[in-house]
Amino acid sequence: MMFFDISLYIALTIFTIGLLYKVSTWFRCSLLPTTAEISPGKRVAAAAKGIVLTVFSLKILTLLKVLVLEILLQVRTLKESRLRWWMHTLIYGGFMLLLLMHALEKTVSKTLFSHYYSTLNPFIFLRDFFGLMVLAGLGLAIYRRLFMKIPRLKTSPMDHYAVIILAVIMVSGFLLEGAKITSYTRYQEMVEVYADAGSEEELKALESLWIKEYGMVSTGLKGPFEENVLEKGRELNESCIACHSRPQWAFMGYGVAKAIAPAATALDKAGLPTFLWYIHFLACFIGLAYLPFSKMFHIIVGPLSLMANAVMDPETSDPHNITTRQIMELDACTHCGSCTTRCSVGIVFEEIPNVNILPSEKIAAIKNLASGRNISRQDIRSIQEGLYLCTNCLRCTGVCPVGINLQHLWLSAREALLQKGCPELMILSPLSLYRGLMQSAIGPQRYQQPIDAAKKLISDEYQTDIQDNTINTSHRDDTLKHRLRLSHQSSTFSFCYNCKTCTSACPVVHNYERPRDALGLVPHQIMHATALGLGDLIFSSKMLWACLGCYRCQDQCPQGVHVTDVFYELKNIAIKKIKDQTTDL
Amino acid sequence: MEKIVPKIGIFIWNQGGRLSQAVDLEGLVKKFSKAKNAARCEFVDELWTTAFFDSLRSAVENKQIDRFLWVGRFTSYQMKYIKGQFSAAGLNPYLHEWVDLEDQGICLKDTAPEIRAAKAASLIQMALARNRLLEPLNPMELPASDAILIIGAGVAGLHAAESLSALGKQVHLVEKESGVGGKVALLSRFYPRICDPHCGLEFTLQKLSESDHVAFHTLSRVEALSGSPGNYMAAVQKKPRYVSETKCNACGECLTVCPKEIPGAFPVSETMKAIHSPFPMSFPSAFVVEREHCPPECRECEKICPAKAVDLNQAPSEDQLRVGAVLITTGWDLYPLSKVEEYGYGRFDNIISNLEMEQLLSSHTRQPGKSAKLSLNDLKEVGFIQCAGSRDERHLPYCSSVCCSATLKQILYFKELVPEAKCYVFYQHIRSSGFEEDLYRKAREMGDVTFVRERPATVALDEQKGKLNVTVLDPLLDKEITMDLDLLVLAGGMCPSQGTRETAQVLKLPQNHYQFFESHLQCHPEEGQRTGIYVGGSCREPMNVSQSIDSSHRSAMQALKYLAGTVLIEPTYPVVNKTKCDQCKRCMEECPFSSFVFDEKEFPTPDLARCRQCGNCMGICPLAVISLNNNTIKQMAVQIEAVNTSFMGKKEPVILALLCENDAYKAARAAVDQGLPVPPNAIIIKVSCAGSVNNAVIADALSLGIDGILIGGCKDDQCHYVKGSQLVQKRSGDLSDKLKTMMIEPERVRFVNLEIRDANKYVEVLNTYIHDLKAMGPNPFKI
Repeated sequence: MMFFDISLYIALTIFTIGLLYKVSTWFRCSLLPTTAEISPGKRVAAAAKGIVLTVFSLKILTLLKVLVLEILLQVRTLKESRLRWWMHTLIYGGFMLLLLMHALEKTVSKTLFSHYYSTLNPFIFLRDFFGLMVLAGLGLAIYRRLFMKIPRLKTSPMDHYAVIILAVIMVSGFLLEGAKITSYTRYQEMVEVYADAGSEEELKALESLWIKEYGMVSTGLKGPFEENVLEKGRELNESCIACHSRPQWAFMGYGVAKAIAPAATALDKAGLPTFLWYIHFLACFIGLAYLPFSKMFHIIVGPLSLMANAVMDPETSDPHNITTRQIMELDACTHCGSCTTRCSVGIVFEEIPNVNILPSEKIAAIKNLASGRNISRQDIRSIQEGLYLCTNCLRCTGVCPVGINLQHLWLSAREALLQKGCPELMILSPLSLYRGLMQSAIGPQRYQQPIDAAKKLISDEYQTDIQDNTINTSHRDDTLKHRLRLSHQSSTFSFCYNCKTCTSACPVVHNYERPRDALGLVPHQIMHATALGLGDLIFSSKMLWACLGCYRCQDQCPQGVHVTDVFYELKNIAIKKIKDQTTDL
Repeated sequence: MEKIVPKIGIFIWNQGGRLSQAVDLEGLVKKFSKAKNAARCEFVDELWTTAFFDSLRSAVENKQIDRFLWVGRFTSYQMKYIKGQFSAAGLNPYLHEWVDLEDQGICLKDTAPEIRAAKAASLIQMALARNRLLEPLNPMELPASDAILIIGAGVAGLHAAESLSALGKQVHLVEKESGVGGKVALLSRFYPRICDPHCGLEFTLQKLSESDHVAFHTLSRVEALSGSPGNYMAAVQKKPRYVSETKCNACGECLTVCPKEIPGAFPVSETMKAIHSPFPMSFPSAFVVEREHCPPECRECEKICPAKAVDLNQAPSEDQLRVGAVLITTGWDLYPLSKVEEYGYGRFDNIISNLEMEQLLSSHTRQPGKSAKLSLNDLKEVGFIQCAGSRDERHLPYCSSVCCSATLKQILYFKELVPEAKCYVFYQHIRSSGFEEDLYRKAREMGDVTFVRERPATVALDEQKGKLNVTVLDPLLDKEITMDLDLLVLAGGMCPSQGTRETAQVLKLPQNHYQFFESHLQCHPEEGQRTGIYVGGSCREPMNVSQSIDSSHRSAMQALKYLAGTVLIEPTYPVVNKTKCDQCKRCMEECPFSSFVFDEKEFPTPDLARCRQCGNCMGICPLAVISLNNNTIKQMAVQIEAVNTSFMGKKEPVILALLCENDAYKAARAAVDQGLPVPPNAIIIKVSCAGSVNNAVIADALSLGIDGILIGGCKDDQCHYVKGSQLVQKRSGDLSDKLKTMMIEPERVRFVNLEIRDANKYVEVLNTYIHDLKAMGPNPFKI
């Protein structure tokens, strides 16, 4: 018992320290560089103020609603998938009930139920039942992770850990129960304590009864027993019944007992029950100690995130709290994969094997980023690519069962990387439209700088060396046309008969008094230059990068040239060349 | 000769009360009942009854009436009906006269009733005067041939021959080359279906060779054409082939012994022997000897020929062919590109014409191993220069209309043969009209066909690379672009072929300012300007193959009317009064259709089969001795004499409007119908063409006291008879001289161009003229 207590305290200590550490990161870390204005102190104060103001306002009703619907009933998961709801509810319900009834029996069960005995009905039955719930949930989890073949669903070591630790706790519990049922040693102990006075014959009768009806495996005695002996045993057992329901009620443990019965005596002598007991509680303590560092931390952070999500608004909430919330959200993620399976650009992963394209995987990268650790340039590039392939469609945010505002997280992460000075060419694409919409939140200075950096990158690479207005064969690149012809949309460039409708329709062109001076080439010229294979001339033209992607040119083209799509493909070609050349970008 | 006293039946159709509301018909009937030669005069309310026509018919049969004057507005259908009613009773259809009072503004309420009454009376009086002089006329039937001469056995000629022979007409196909097929046989493909033209040609030739009605005259030329439509006589000169068309079966044995190699026609084609298969198509299959290339004394072919078909002593022969009509399908030639100096044609081997490109594209279908200077598979970058010499005032000012589509077709087919090749088209405008746009689209869809809207200024040969260095200023990018090309194809334009020019001379057929055959183009495009001579295909204007076939079929259809065995001549042809003719030959010179020929006494006389009865000869004759039957100068003179020159009262001038019945008269009529305020001053006489108005008639009219003459003709270039309006204006100089001697102001004659719907203009012209005439004062001859 000494060992039990010591290990419990150690586990609790680690848990507490871990918890404090984790919570402290919520206030210390941030995606954007910490400034004097957003200091940890101020963030704690802001959080406290925010919580107090929320709790003592009508928002408390919202919180209650969230507590019931989203936290207890998990309606978000239910909407997403019935299977997962069952899985989660079985694990979480079963485990919580076990925790309260079994693990904390001294403080909870005994207080609530005066006649509580773990070996008495209904508790003996419920314990196994709850355990079975957890096991069933785990079964579903394993089935989902290993057999369902959900596209792009990633299973990390952490997911394995979570399943394994729970499985170890549950299985060791059942085994322990089974071992104890069969254990002659345990029986002897009980007899010594409670039935010491009995005669040899009486004890034999009792033993017979326990062998027959309680699944105990004796060293000496063996059935079949005569009915009068058992009847006598039953009489003697009257006092035992007060504490022991029939072990069949512990259907899992009894099953185990039946299964190990042939070897039970040997196992008992080898001290199996004790061994299993150690395993059982040590697994629990490991789980407890490791909880703040594992995905199981969501048990605590998930509800917080859901509540924060319900009452906070990126527009109006205190920026301190938004920062804090984002870091907290990173801990709330259960790596369930909802976001990834629903991601509208997730399919790109099949083509570009960068896990950071998948939202659920990006979280890990962003955690690293937020922790302020040193990340290699290559990793940053990979994160950036993942972040920029996002179309900001909001699906991930919509489906997150723990209410993480993923959208906002991505934006912050992008900005964080951009502010770190990593030039990103995608910023010139409509994929950064969302960033444009968020311009006021980002601030003009910080908004413009990365754009300029990206433009510089392009203009450094593609300088039109067509001096004195003469184009010769060396300027012409036929691979350009070849690449464009690979896709149906971009192969339409050659349909152009230069009616100039695209240029007339282009709002970018109309934005300038002297468009050709400002933009280099205008749309119809780009189509023509494409036909001539003048890659550098096109890539160096500002028009290509100023295109809004409004599709007006394409809509109005009388020849069905997918002008805007051709632009996209040209930009892709330009960017790919830069990326291929500079690995350290 | 018994003097015939006309018995005229005058019938005024009330048009359902419409006329009686405008004028006092009772008064008119009363007046004209007593008129000279009037057998009956009445007004009719119910005209369209059997009883009415029955009673009149019996009057005609009983010789009480021998001609009619119909007053009222009759449609051409109604006129035909009325004529039909009496032709059974023996009344010649030319003995009807029609007066449409409404056309002349009698029903216009703005005009004073007394003026209307006077004008109506004058109009009937005029018609009556003319009516007295009407003569019965009957159509003439001339015997004619049922054969046709088709000059040029290209695609147009062959297709026309096929249709006509299928109709049982005898066809003489004259071709100057040794084989038929013409330019189309030289093409590798034709659009829009990009198939091999030989397929279509062979198909047609198969039918022609099976027909009993087709005679091929290859190596032949028409040397002379005499006679007239329905009865032409063509002299056809045939060069010797030196190989019997019946004996030769093209075994090719002679090729093995012929010692003389002569160059092929194009840089991309192989050489050939002096004896060779016919060209452009080997039809007829008999070989031909180009005797001028043979070594003297060499008779190897003659010796070896297993069929004994070669006869090097063959002499030229001449045929006389009697034909009813001639169809000219002499086609086109490529404009000589060496004249377009800037593109270096002729200087470099890899600059070729579009026609040579056709040869190159079909070179792979020929036997391999012959020396060809260019090989398709070496061509990786090919440029096409459009409008090489076309739409160029220095060369061909017109668009040949086929070169754009031809180039696109060549690209499509070339890319089929050499898929990796890149093509560049230098152009001004791509004119692939109609469904040919598909070719343009398909070429663009290929992706590596680039269109640059500028024609290169210079072409140079890069001798190291062996490529052509072409520089253009790309107007879209405003940059100069240089390219290295393996081949440059010049899209040369179409000009009239050598055969077209020769035929024009022999047949004396007018050519337009581009030397193509003149044609009305709109109303009767298929007619050359000589009756019975038709033009089809691109000797008329640049055409693509299908248009050519189309055109020659239409011409063949028109030609059918002279292939019927007889030619029907309407009796309204011109007649020359030879007792008064002084043989000045103005009529011969000015006839728009050159119908006049000399008779045996050297008097000009119209060839009735050619004449289109426009009356320009009548108008031009200085002595006014030519008249159209049923529309004689005399008839016009009495009609004018009958004009009441004072029907407008003392102050208002009276105008005689001589209006062309095709356009100007219809404009005047439209003015009335549209309810425009048409001044009543004009009395209109319909004429067959403004050009048929003789100066003598005008002078006569003015001497009778008519204040002004208005001659209305079509717009100068729109005349149905080519140049009637121009001719009448040309004569105005003579007329003013004559008028001056008569002390009459030449300004009393005015010519105006009126199109068929120029109603407003007619009213405007009339008002201005009235105003001017008032300023001038009344005609001094006015009583």
